[in-house]
Amino acid sequence: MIFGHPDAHIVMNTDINSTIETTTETREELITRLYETCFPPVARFIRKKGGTLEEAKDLFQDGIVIYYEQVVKGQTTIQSDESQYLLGIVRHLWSRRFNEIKNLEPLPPGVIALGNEKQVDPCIKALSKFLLQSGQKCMALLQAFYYDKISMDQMAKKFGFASARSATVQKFKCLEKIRDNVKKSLMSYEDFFE
Amino acid sequence: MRISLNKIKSIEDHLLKKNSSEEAVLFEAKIILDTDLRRDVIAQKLAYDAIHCYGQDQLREEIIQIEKIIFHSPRYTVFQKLIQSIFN
Repeated sequence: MIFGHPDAHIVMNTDINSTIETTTETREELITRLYETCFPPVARFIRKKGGTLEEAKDLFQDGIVIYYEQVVKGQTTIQSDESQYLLGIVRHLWSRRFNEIKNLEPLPPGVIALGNEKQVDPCIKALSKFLLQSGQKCMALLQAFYYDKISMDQMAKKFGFASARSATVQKFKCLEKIRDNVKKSLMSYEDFFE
Repeated sequence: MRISLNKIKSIEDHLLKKNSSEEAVLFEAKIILDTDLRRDVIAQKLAYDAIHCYGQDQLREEIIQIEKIIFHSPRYTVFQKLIQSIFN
């Protein structure tokens, strides 16, 4: 499955059985490569700051999530100076974690500003239950479109729909299921809707 | 597409900012006047949040699995020694 944005040039392969469609990189290959090439400079930085290997791993995971989301949104392309880019994100995350406000490291160009809350905090687990109620296929389909940003044509191919239009209809049906579950569970909190 | 799905699409266009500024203003007015629509918009926004959380969890899980391999598999001994030397 190829990432949605035309500049991404990476293939997502979360499903072992999915076919790698082109010679471009799978998500697994991308993550592995990022560890091999970008983790050592990150580790040196964290060590210099007095941090531990566990802290380096933790911040690097956050950095990859942010980098991935930027790439699939088309807000950045896979960089030739990826290592510096990812290090920039980690330096920023480190500054935030230890409230080095005065010396807050700037984000690399192209990375959208992070909110006051840590952008990659574990999501509210309660929300995921709505998705679980929609069934496996819907979960995969919605994730592929809204999170991994793959195109409807690629969706049709991956999920076996006759056309992009059929995939679109199914996507909205799945979304409707989740939305209705959300509505049902919020009905008891009438104030929420006011 | 059936009517209810078209409604979902119009809310999506609004929430994901696919509308023109004129359409967005008109839609905001509809949200103020129509309680049911308002509820649908709030619930749909939460649905997108749920999908984002799910996608992020899946990605994070994949990263953790790959990290385990890189830090423990004999295939990556050179890498492991390099990292050890940084923290020793």
